[in-house]
Formats: sequence, C-alpha cells, structure tokens
Amino acid sequence: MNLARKTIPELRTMLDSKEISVRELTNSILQQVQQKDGDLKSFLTIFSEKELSPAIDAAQKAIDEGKATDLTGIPCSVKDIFNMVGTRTTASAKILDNYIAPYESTVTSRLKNAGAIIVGKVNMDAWAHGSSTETSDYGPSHNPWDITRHPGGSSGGSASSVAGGQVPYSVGTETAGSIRGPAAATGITGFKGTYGRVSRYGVIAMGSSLDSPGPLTRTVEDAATIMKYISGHDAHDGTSIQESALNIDLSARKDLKGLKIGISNDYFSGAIQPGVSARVKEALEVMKSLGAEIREVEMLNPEYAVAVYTIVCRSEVSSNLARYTGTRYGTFKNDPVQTVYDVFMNNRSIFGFEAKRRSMTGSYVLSKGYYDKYYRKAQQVRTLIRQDYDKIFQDVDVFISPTLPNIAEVIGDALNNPLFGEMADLLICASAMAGIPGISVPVGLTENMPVGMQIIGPAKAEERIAQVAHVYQTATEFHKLVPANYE
Amino acid sequence: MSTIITQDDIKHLEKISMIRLSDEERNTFTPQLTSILEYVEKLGEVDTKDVPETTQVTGIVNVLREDEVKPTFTQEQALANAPEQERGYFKIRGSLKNIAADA
Repeated sequence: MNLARKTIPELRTMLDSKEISVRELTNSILQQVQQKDGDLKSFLTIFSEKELSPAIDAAQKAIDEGKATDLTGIPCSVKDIFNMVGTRTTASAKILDNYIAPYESTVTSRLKNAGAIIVGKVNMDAWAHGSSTETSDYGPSHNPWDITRHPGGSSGGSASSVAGGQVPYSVGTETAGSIRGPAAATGITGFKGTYGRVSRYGVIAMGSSLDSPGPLTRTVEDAATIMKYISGHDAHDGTSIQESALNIDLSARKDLKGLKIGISNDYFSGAIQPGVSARVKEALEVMKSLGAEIREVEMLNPEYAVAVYTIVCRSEVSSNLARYTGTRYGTFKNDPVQTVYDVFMNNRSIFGFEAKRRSMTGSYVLSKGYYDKYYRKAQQVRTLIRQDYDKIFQDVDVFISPTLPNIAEVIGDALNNPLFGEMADLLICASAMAGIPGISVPVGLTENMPVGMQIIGPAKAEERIAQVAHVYQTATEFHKLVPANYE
Repeated sequence: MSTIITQDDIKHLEKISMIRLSDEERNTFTPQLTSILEYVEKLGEVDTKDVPETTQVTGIVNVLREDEVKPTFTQEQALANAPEQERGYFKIRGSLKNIAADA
C-alpha cells in the first residue's frame, strides 16, 4: 500500500488513531520518493530522515497532545521557488546552484507551523519560465502517465511528485497556468487563488503582478484544506489582500441546481485537441445532470490574452532578473574586467537561454520608443480582459473550459518554439491577467493521457469554484485514476 | 507592419539588459524576437481608445507601516551567500583602478 496515494483526511485518521506514527509515515513517503525519482526526476533536494527529525518529533508531540492541525505530520513537497531558511533554493537555475536561503517564505513558514513535513524541494522550469520543466537547468521532470512526456510546468516537479505517487500533495506557484497546467497534464487537482490571496513573500519572483502560490493535490477537498493554512493577509507582502485565511465550506453545496456555467466556443475549438474538448464537454454534461445550466458567453479572443501576458510578464521578468548580479549571492565568473559593468555582464551570462530570451524581450518592449506600442497597449487590453469577466459574471456564476489545449507533449518537441510556454497557457492567460481564481480537476483520459477542466470564478470567489469542483468530483471517479507503472 | 529585428538591435539589447549572448544564441534569438513581436502586435487590432491601463488588480493603494526598527540580517547572514568577501564586505574584481589609469 502506497501511503502517498492517500488523501489528507485519510492520513489524518491513520495518524490520530495511532495506526501509524509520523516517523513511519515519513519514512514510507521517503521510500516512495527515492524509489520513483530515478524515472520521474521530480526532486532537486530530498531531505533525510535525520534532517526531518525535529519536524517529525514536533508533529508527533502535537498529535499525542491532541493539538494536531489538518496537516500535522503529513509529508509533502514544495516547489524549489520557495526560500526555506538554511536549505538550497535554486528556482531550477544554475546561477543559484549554491544559494542557501537566509530567510523563510510565508508559505513554507505557515506549512511548517501547521505541522507539515516538507520532505523535499521539487523541479520547475528555470525561474518558472516555461510550461514543461524543460527549461530547468537540471533537466526535465517526467510525466508518470508516459515518461517520454513532460508533466507540464512550471510547477512540473510538484505535479509529477503527486501524480507519480511520491507524496500526498505539493505546493507550487502560478503566474499564468503553472499550477493548473501541470495539474491537468498529470491528472490531479490544482488550485490557484485570487492574486494576493496567498503571500508572495520569499517566492523567487517571476511576474510580480501575477505570481500566486497554491496547492497541487489528489482532491478538491485537500486543495481547500491546504488553502486554509497558506492563505490570509501577510504584512511582508504589500500586494497581499486584506482578508483572513480562506475557510472553505465544501459541505454547503450538494448539487449544482441553480448554477449558471458560462462557456465560450473559442475555448473549445481551433488549437484545442478534439479529445481534450470532448472530455470537457462530457464533464459539462455531468454537471448539467447535477442541475447546472450552461450558457454560451461572448469573450475576447484568448490569443489577445496570450499577447498581453507575453508583454507584461516578460517586462516584469526583465525587472525581476535585473537584481541578479552575482555579487551578493549566486554563481559568479572571475574573469578579468575593465569596469563594474563587465562584472555584471560576465556574471549574468550564466543565465539559461530562456531567462535571457525573456529578459531581453522585456527590455525591448519597455525601451524608449516602444513603451507605448507594446507595454502601454498591453496594460490597456488587460483592462478590457478584466471588464470582459466583470461582464460575464453578471450573467453566469462560473466560467468553464479545458485547462490546457493539448495533452502533455513528448519531451523536446516544443524547445524551439520561442512562445511555447505562453501558447500552452492559451486558455489560462486571461484569468491570470485578471487576477481571478481558478481550479483544475481531472475529467478523464484521451490517448491514455489525462485531461483537465478549469473552473474560473470572480475575484475572491474561491469558495464557489471549489464547491462546484467538489460536487463534480464527488459524482465522478476520474481523480482516482492512477498511472499504471507508478502506483 | 511588423518589426524586423537585426543583429545590431540584439547587441543593443544585450547592452541595456546587461546580458551577453553567445554567437549561437544571438543567431537563434534574432529571428525569434521578430516572431514574438509579430505575435504580440496583433494587439493593434484591439480598439483601446480612452481605455485606462491596468497596472495591478487588487486595488490596494499606499501600503504603509510604522517606521520602527526591527531585527534584520546580521552582517554574517547577509554575507553568507557572497561568492567572495573580505573584512565584512562583498568582494568583486577591481575595476576603478583601470578607469583611473585611463584618465
């Protein structure tokens, strides 16, 4: 029996009833991690039982004293984008290969305070630039449904570690699609909150007006549980919204009676693989049978959102990566220099190609003479995207579409497409730019690979979309599908 | 009318981005940046007359805090990741002496 395949409440019962100790559970999970990581390559850092001992002992003590939270003693992985004090934090970028975090991110701090056992840090696209983990300087992770394929990205190591049965859940981050996308590509649940719902403090920055941490899990229920512990206002993050932690009541909705679902034809046709559209349409039929009403709504062409995202995010990337000079931390080159300019130039040549490409595209669209044409224009269309959602949410409660246009590709197929990362996010970019919440749930297979459906709601409507997703999941079994070779 | 990016444009970008490309990277990136710009230029089709810009989505303004002294990194912690250090300072290759010699 693989304990990494259990849900959080199942493990809670086992721990609280003393059927198993925290140490036994952690060792059992570490064994799954080790056993499967040769194939899946989910992990960049795996902690030993000895390193985890203080956390294990503290969690066991809390359980024995009846002070356990939902997460106490339950192992998980976190994306290597979170600073965890005293541990290596690379963002999958070689320039940070030997960087030891001197401080703790709010997300990992809250997980630890809740008693979670973080067994390791998982792979991602370098700096989160990508949708496949292929830009990782440590090589790609592999999809447990077919290891010739990638697991999506950028939180791909989070997805492969959960879908591959290495850990019960993981916490990743999304800028536009980096939680929902890999969750869809590997047949698990991914939950991205409203921008500002989960603190960005201690998260290595990609697109600062977009970055949102969130969970990748086996069930909607688990995702809602983790949100309860990682969300809530944080004084360390100036963009954190003034709200207390999310306390989602999934039992409040038993069916979908009265629910109005918006769909748009642009999100089901064109570049969308027919098998992907078909699975999501079947899921919509299930939701109809549960009482929902489906309405066609008019939306901006999603390709405009991709263009807006490309400009805005790359601009923010060029600004965020400007801080890497290789003088205060990180790798540096000890080549002879003429000026301090050469020092920065030498050290920054260590960036991977994707980071260079994105940073320089951002510098271009922000530079003198081009700002109005690209950056200002994109920020204006971003307003239209937000108005688009304001308009449709007057008529419908949620918006539903496939999460990704395709099943996960074979590793190497997309490397030469300079916009691959963005195109994979075709159906996600608009909601990311609007900063609204979305949850992706598995809806079956096509070509033996998982398909995900995303449920999007207005700002701060996390509870609504989680309830809808939970009702669907309660009525279906797709979230229980397990890849044959990685039980 | 699409923008065509030349190798000279890329060299200028390397300068303002403080990123050096290899010849191979420059050859790959030059046509790629042209095609990226071609893609994003489709935003020209969207009418944005009198549309305000969105720079952030939370609506939060002026997040302030009291100006209080709080514990922060020790010198040791701040230097812990420095590639090189000397007498409590970050150390990089000397450069000013060359400028002085040129003057």
